[in-house]
Amino acid sequence: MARHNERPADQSSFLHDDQLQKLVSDACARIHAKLTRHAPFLGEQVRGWMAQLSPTGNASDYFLLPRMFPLLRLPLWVAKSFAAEAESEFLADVIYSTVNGYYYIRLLDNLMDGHGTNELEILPATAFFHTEFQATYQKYFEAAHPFWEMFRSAWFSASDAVTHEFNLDCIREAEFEGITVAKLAGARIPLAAVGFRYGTAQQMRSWEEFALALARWSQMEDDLFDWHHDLQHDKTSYFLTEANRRKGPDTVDAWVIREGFQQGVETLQRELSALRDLVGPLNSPDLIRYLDLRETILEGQKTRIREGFDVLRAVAAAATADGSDSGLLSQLAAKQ
Amino acid sequence: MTVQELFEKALHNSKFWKELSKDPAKALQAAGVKATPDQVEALKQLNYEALDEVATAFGGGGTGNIT
Repeated sequence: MARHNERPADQSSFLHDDQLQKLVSDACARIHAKLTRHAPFLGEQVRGWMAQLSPTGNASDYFLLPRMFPLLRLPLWVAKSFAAEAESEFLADVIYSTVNGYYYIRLLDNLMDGHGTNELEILPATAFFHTEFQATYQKYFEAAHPFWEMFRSAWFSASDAVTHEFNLDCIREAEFEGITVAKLAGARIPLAAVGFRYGTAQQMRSWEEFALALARWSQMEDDLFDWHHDLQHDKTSYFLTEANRRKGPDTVDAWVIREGFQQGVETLQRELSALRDLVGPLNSPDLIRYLDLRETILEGQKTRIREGFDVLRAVAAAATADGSDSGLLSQLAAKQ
Repeated sequence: MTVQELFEKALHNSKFWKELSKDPAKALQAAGVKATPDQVEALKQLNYEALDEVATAFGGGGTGNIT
């Protein structure tokens, strides 16, 4: 899983961030260096796995894709909004920890979904990723610091939600809001680390609220764009549950092509608009630029994919005897 | 051919679309379908490049980038 469909350079010039690029690249290099020193055989295997997740073969590019949930961008945006000059060593550690946490989840998730590559052979790498994810924070927060209670709460509830969702046959609205979205609670951890170091409780609450709302939106987007992949792999999602409920006598594919995709994108556009309402108190021009870019990408996809689906329906109308959609072909041809 | 089959072709069979845009009657005949002259003419006018976005968006094996 996690093979990405977009080239990192497509729209990334809007989001280009030298600081982030260097921090992510350094984090990946730090992982390779530590593994080479402590677990050289495993390290070689992990290096290959990290590279093949990325569309360019360069591990760090994977985290910079515009459509990727901004797991690593968010803590930097938070730090910028709290402190004019955050400590560079601390930010490097937050990014390093988060990259390790992400790989830990990615490895397990690919195995649970049943379509990984060499994840089973490198499963012991979870020991490395988890240790580095957690231990990196030990030099900043002593054992009794409230950070650790938040860490446990976020990490354990995310693990619970992942397991719960894996055992569901369908995901209705209640399960999406209560379980699927709860899978993303781990994203709170790097934000809380930055918040405890620089922010106030009120500022932290606003950022956490926004991050969870954005994670929810990103999950809806994933469900929409992964519908075909999920369907092929018998993986349920909120979007596919809704598709099965609404499709009537159609197949899921036919319903998505006829109206489901369009409805899904319109929902995403409405929800993106609602996200903007949460941005005000956050003092983050970076965040506003990010939402602008996501809106532009989504609008472009909506238009181009609708045109593509229209072509499919028109050709199907010409190639079937029942004459359904028979007017569509001539309408579309007339438009060209 | 159903829309479902055509969707699969959009993801995995760019040759079919190239042939359809070049010679719709021949491409459909090869797929076991006989189109009327009006349909063939209309098929020549479609914007097949729009299918590239469909293949890009849905043909890459899922994003799976959240968890």
